[in-house]
Amino acid sequence: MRRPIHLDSLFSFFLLLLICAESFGQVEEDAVKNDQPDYYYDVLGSVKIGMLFPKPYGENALSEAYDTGNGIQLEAKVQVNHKLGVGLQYQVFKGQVTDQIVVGGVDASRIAHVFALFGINHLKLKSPWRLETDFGVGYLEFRNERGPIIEFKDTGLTLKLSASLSYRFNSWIGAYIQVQYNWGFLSIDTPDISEIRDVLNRTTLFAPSFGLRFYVL
Amino acid sequence: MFLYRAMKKVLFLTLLSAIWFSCETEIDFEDNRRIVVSGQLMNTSNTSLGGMNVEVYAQKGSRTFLSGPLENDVLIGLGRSDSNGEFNITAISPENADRIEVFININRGNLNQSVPPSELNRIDSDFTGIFLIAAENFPVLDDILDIGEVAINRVKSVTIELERISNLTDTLQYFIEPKPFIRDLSSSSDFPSGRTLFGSLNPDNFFVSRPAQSACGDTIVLGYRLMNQSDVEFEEQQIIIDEETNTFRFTF
Repeated sequence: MRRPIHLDSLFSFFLLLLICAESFGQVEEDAVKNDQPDYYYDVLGSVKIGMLFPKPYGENALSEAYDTGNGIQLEAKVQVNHKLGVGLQYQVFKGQVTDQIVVGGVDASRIAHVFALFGINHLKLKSPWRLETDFGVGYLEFRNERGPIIEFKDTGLTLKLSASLSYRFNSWIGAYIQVQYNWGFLSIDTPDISEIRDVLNRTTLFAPSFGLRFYVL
Repeated sequence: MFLYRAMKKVLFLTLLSAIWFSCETEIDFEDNRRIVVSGQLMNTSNTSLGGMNVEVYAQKGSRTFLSGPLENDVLIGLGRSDSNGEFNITAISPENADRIEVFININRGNLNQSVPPSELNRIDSDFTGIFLIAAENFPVLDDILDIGEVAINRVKSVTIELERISNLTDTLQYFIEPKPFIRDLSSSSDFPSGRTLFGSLNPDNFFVSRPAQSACGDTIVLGYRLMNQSDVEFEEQQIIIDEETNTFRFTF
């Protein structure tokens, strides 16, 4: 039995985090160390590698018919300036089907998201901390397995909103934690029975993650 | 040298063909598509039947004998009928299957399929099972394969009594053959019953009582012959099983 997650509360907390980000940045300014040269902070970009802990919720097949495992997350981002960054993110995790009544004859799915990212850093340039919010739009793929041989896929569009806090230990490595919400819109062609279509085609996901961040000067 | 190279080519092509034809037996499934198999289950007194398991399979290749699902059949969707007897089974969409088969109230046995929730693998032994080849008999319209209303018979336990009332001193040989519980709605042929009872009534016995099970509305075949007429074929009597009668008596 899946334990209920109070995702509405988490989402409220998430929004509060975003609202507080700017004011937190202002306070943090005083604590910035200025003993490093400017180029130290003015990075070209960064690469994140981390663990993903997907928690589906809502009335959809991913939430009702899958037991999701942990996944991995890879992200490469180029800084336009110290505030704005653009990049790509790849997330993948496995889901074991627990209720074939909902999804049909599928045993398991490998669920992958590929996002084009647009991110904003809320903290000042000369700080080892980064508090970033990212908006992503991209491609969602369920690679479904039926037995040992059969594979087919369901695909669609996905959106995400995330907030991450990272700390830079030295010039090239740091660590991050991240919370994110994903909204998926699959393009499964189904009969005109709204409850079946909505349940199969929508996904909603809360996915915290943590990992390492590598900086490119 | 030329012969050796030619033989290698032939061997390679043979191997490729073998791989190709072995792959042909696999069923491919359509990306981004589901179909729904729908229908309604009623019993013979025209009331709806809820809680019956319904399983949908895709099959490729020929079905050489009638039975439950075969080893190579792929389970593509499953569910149960609701309190109105209605079901809407969400199923993955086979691209190159030869047929879609619907099994109602039939235990899948030991197929190498993933295990669904346990209650779905349970059949209601009070009722007969139904097998039908769906896509051949019903059109798929707007991704819905509607098999309509399906009647399922109640299984009934009856007693068949044989009594000697004449002065004949011959042994009576008999068999009792109920119809199978699984019916194939797609064809007129039945599954082998496998439940035929054989017996005999010796000269010093005047009465025997045998239990049998049959679906209401079906017939049980009673075959009989006397031993001193062993070159004679069994004579057969059709016993119609109805809701009211529980005992059937045959006298000779």
